[in-house]
Amino acid sequence: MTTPTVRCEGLRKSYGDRVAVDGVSFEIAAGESYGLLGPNGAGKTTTISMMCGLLHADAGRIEVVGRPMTTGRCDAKQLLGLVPQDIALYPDLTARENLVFFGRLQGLSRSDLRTRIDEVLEIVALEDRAGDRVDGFSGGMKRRCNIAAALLHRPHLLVLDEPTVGVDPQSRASILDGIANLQAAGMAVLYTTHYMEEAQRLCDRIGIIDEGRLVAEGTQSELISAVGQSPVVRLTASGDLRTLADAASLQPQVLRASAGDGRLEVAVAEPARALAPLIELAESCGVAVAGVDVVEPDLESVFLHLTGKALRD
Amino acid sequence: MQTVEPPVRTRSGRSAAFVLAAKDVRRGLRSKALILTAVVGPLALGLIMALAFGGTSGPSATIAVVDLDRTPTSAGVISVLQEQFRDGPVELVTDVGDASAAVTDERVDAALVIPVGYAASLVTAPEPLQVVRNSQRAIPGEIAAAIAGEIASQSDLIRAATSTVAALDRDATSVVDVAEVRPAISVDVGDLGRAFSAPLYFGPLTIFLFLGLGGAARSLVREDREGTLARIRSTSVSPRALVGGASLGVFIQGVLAAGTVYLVSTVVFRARWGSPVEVIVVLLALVVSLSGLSALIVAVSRTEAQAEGWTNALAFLFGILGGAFFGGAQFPGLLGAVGSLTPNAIAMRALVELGPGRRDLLEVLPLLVALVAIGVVGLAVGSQLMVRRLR
Repeated sequence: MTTPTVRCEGLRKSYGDRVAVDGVSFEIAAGESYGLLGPNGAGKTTTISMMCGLLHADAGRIEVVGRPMTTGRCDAKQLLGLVPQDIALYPDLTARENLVFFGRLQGLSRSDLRTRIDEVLEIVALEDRAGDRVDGFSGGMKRRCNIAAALLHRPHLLVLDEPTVGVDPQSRASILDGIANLQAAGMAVLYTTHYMEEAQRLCDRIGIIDEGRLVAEGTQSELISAVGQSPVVRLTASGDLRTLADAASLQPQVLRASAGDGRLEVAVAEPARALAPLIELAESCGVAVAGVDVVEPDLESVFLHLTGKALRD
Repeated sequence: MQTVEPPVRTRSGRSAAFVLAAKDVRRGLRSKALILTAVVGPLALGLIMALAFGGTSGPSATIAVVDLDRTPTSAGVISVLQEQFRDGPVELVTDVGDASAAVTDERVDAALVIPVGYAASLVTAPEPLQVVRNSQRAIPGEIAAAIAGEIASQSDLIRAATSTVAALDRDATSVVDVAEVRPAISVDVGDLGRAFSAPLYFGPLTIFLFLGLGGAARSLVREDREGTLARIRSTSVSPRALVGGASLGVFIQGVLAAGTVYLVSTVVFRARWGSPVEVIVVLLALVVSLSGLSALIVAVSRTEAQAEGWTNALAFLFGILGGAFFGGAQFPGLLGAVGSLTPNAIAMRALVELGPGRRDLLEVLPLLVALVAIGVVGLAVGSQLMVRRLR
């Protein structure tokens, strides 16, 4: 059995009476991208802070490539790269000066550092702006440089805390492509985001954290099936929708049906097979159907189901 | 699937501290905040005061001249001095009795004593005039010392004048009336202005430097706010190396700022600080002291704004009590005693006592040790608190 790049077991952290993280456990394998999703105040940042050795855990254990991680363990810290949510760069230094500083802190030799800086600047597509001060960068460029600083020492684990906040779509796409490439090269990635589409695109597995607890974990399809989310056929119609909803719920392929505001929503196991009978039923009830949509379940609906909140709350 | 290459590690905690310090120095120089506060500030204020106090608009010090020799030669010297300073900037008085008592009682700012045997010593090894000074009256002390030095340098001319009078068989007290020897003692007033201008730069430097170093010492708190501290702490840098690097950065910036003020005031404004080695030792001790205090203030403050407030309040309190301005003038009595314990007052006293031809480094060692002790204690306590906070 191979050692996971990171293993967290029973992490717990309290601030006075308030429990910020309560028994969180998960693992990330090499080359795997793990998304940690949760509403604001759910405990994501506290979990990340403990994983990166910035915060003492009250209880639990963290290992990075088999090495225990605590605030004082330098050997474990050498194995991870942190991309904080805020731009953790010196605005009055150039991109290269920032990278030289953080690279030297990570113990890179001068010759290795020179090569690595060129490499990471290429990864984040900032080669031609290396000599410019960071305070002259756009938001997207700062974000990319922020990521570059975490890659210099070739970490085994890259921890990204909402790395695309406030960036334009082009920069976001560039950042996500870069992370996918790193993951493909064998780097483990822990990713938190408020953008569900990013998690869906990037993460092999997802953990949903709420009120300090990991309430669900798995691949996207595992999560959807675990919470019993089904596709929904949505009819935009006029007429007696309530009667139609009652009639629809008696149909064998229908899991549940509800009416309201000129719409009928019908949860079904197989939309393709349920659609024709539903339209026939509407006609028989004297309901005129103006439009039909099929909504597949996604992470957003899973998240809403599990936490009762939208991800951006 | 490719595997990620292992990280490369060659750095020690000490080298991390140097990397951190170098970054802080680079940012400090680039931001210009330290330059404006700790270099331009004291130079500008010192220059203004040097111009004000170094001019010839009127007396700026009352100096007693006490003649213990009681010879025609010593009387002649006093006569020349009185004539020299008839129009200021020094007011000379001759009827104060005991010189030390007059200075201690603050009836005069400083005193020159013509020692017994002065006239006789001119033939062989001229006795220097003794200077009695009040450590809280730096400028008059410097003026008195400059006059004594000028007279010592003119010993040959004074002896020649005395001999000429003797050869002419005239009363030696009329030495100043002899046309040939009238300019025998010449004290350059402009030169005097420069001679006592070092304390004028040094006083503001102590306070502005404290303000500047306070800003530099807040770098860790600032980094916490800006988010870079989290990234640094996620690396293998230990809290001790982190605090050590920040402290080293503050010290280096202090040395650069103090050194610049010393060099510019010396080269451009022709201020006389004394022996370069001695001045550098005093400046280093001062920077150690202020760096340590700054570290302590940051460590006991909860926020960056609180640390800034404490630094500003202490700087002005030190400045007022310790006599950082107007050449080191201090309050009398209890306030003066309290003020004499401030780092700026201690450093000023060391600098003044090391003035030309007076005490040496060994003699002012207690003052230097006191300065360094303030810094070391502040740094030790402050660092310990900061390391604990970072853990």
